[in-house]
Amino acid sequence: MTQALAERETGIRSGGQEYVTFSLNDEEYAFDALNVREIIEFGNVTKVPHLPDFFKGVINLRGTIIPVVDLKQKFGMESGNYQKHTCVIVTEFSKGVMGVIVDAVSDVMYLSDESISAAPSFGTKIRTDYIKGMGKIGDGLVLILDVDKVLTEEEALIISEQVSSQFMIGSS
Amino acid sequence: MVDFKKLYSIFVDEAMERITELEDGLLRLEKSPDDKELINTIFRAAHTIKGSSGSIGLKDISKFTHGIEEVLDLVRQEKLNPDKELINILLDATDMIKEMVRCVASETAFDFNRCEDLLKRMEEIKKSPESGAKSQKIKTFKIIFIPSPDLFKRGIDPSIIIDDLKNIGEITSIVANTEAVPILSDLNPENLYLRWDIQLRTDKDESEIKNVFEFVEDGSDIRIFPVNTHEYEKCMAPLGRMLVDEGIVKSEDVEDALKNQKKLGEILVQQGKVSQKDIENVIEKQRGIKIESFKNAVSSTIRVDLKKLDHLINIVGEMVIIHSMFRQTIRSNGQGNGGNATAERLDVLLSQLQRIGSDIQESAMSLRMLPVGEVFQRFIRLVRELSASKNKNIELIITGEETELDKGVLEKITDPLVHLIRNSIDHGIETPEERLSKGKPANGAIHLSAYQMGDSVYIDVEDDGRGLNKEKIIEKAISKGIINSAQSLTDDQIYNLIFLPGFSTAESVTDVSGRGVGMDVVKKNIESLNGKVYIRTGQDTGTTISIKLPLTLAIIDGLTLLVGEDVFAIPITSVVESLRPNRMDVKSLNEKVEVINVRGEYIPLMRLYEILGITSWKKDPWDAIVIVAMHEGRKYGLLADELLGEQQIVIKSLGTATPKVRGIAGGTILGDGRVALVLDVPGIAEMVKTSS
Repeated sequence: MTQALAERETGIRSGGQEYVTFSLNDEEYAFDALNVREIIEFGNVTKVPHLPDFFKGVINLRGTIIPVVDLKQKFGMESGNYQKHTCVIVTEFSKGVMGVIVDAVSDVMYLSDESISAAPSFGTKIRTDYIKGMGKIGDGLVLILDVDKVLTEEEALIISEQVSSQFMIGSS
Repeated sequence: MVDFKKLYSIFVDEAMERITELEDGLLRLEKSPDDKELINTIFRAAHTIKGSSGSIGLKDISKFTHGIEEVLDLVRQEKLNPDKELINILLDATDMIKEMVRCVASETAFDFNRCEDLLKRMEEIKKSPESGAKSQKIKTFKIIFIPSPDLFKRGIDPSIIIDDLKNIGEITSIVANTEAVPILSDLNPENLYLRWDIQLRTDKDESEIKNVFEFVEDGSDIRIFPVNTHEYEKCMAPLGRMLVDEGIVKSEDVEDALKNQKKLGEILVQQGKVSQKDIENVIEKQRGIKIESFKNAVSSTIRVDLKKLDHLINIVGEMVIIHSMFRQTIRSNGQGNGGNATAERLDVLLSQLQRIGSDIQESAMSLRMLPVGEVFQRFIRLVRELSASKNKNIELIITGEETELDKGVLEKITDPLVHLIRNSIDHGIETPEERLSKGKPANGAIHLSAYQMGDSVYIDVEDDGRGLNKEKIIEKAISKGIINSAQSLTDDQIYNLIFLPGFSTAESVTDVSGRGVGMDVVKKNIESLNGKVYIRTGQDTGTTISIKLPLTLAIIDGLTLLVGEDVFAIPITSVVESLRPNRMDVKSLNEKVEVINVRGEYIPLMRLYEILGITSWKKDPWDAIVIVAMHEGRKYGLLADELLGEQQIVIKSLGTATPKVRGIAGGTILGDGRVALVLDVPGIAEMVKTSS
């Protein structure tokens, strides 16, 4: 009993972690809660030229400028209009702080290690190396993403795109 | 064992400050050796380092600093004279502490054995107070007294002679040498087998010492050497010193031998093991290390004048009061008072809040302002060391130390200043011989000054050297293909050629005329701070490089403009004018390059919507607006849809996770909370070059 209480208070239990779950086109994904700094409303994005499409631009986070990416576009999913529930998960990763646009944030929940199985090696819509594991919530499944891999993977991609975009300026 | 690691960073900051004090003080002490207060300040600095390092368990630093403190104590008691030799040792010791502290900062181990040599040097200088005794007359003599064996038979007691010596001076050391004493069976009790090595401190001269030995001269071997401790300590290798001590050779002979001894480098060159060039490179590297260690000295913390902080806290207090006044006014409105009066009252409060807001901004910015003296002082050491390595005597004169600059600017200005000062030492100021032949004083001077004018701060590096050589610059610029001929160039333009990339190359390091060690880098660095560089020079009267800097980095005046639907800002310092060209004045040279005619001057036209990849409806320059920006003396026309206005902007980074984009310097937050990108004029100018 006391242990359960302590667990609730500290939010730390042995053999598990808290995750922030969110949806992309009605599918559930999750980030490690330790990577999530806060969740804010989507809006007022300033586009930065010559960056790939999924790189939506920069926003003002209480006086600090941070970049935002559209996760659906990044994963090559259909990305339509931003709606009421569209929000930005402000994540911290090895390169700094980045806003991640998702359809909706669903929950912050605890998943024990036993309820997480290894990433499927095929059959997912996104690259398997982005996936850290697969969590079971009741009947549903949630794909747990590796924040660092998902976001740092960009760098190489962007640099190559930038080179080509610069080349286009040169030739225009 | 208590864990002191948490305290290390505090210690490092404080120690670095004290080390600067120590360094500063020592350099000033060299000029005014009688300044008691100064000696005390230096002593206190060393003492503080010793105390604080000891208290957090850094025994090595504490032990080493103790050595310095002891030397300083002798100086304080006027037992040691702070001559160049002593100051050099203390400066070296200061460097050693600096390194030890740095090891603490980076949490790497420090090998205390490296200190041994310095500790020994300090110990020696302490033991031989005659090395710098204040009165020049007092000399030390080394006396080797090998009495004749029959001294006793002649009824002379050698101890009387030693007593006599005591009467004319102070015996600092006396050793009875018993080497000559035979084994007991061979010993003749009437013979004297001893010899004495005596060190005598006296104001008498050699002949008077000889007089003491007058009665024993016959049959005795008496050698008397004056010991000029100063020279003796300095130039003799341990072997030489021992030979002199043993009385085998005279100290002059050792000095002569040392003079004939070639430098290691020269010998190696002669033997064909290395080339002169290699040696020079290594020496250059040595200088480089000195400069590097100098650059690392800016810390990431900031010391703030308490007054500034108090002021800020006062204004913040005012803000809290306004806040409660707002609440009260709004509450009383709820109670049904006149709505109009409330609105008026709110208006007043709002304007007060606005004033306080800008006060807070100003006050907070002032926290970042630091006096330039902090950086300037450190150059004294640099000039001292670098000029010594060039065999020049150069004094650094500093004025305007109290001028304040943003800490960010101050940090970034240090490198360019090192460059400029180094150039003055290497190329600007002539050798003493050359200077004398020109009728100048043999000692050169570099004048480093800072002053504020309007909203800019100027830092001048002025030397009294040979000045820039116009012909040589032209010659070099032509040979490098930078210009074809100098005919249409004004003097000013010619001098500014040295700032062009490609003008200065590695080989100019040894080129006497070339004042171009990375001058383009200097210029680039200063321009990245929105600053400007000017040159004034005169043949044989010297060169002045003047750096103009904005008061603060963070807030600049900017123009906001509209391209498509996006707002951009551009620093006003790089804007010359804005205009809407006539249809007639826009010409395209070919498919890629367009120019506009501005009062007879053709400047390249850059369509911002194209550069930035934005859809815009105003594609015709005569419908839109052209902002004429200036970079490196060249003008560029930037085509925007609309000019929105002028406002103060705070340039911020776009975040570490945002990739760098050419043409964008950063972002700023507009009044409505949106982010506007700040255009990077140098970057855009570069795009013109690559596209044309």
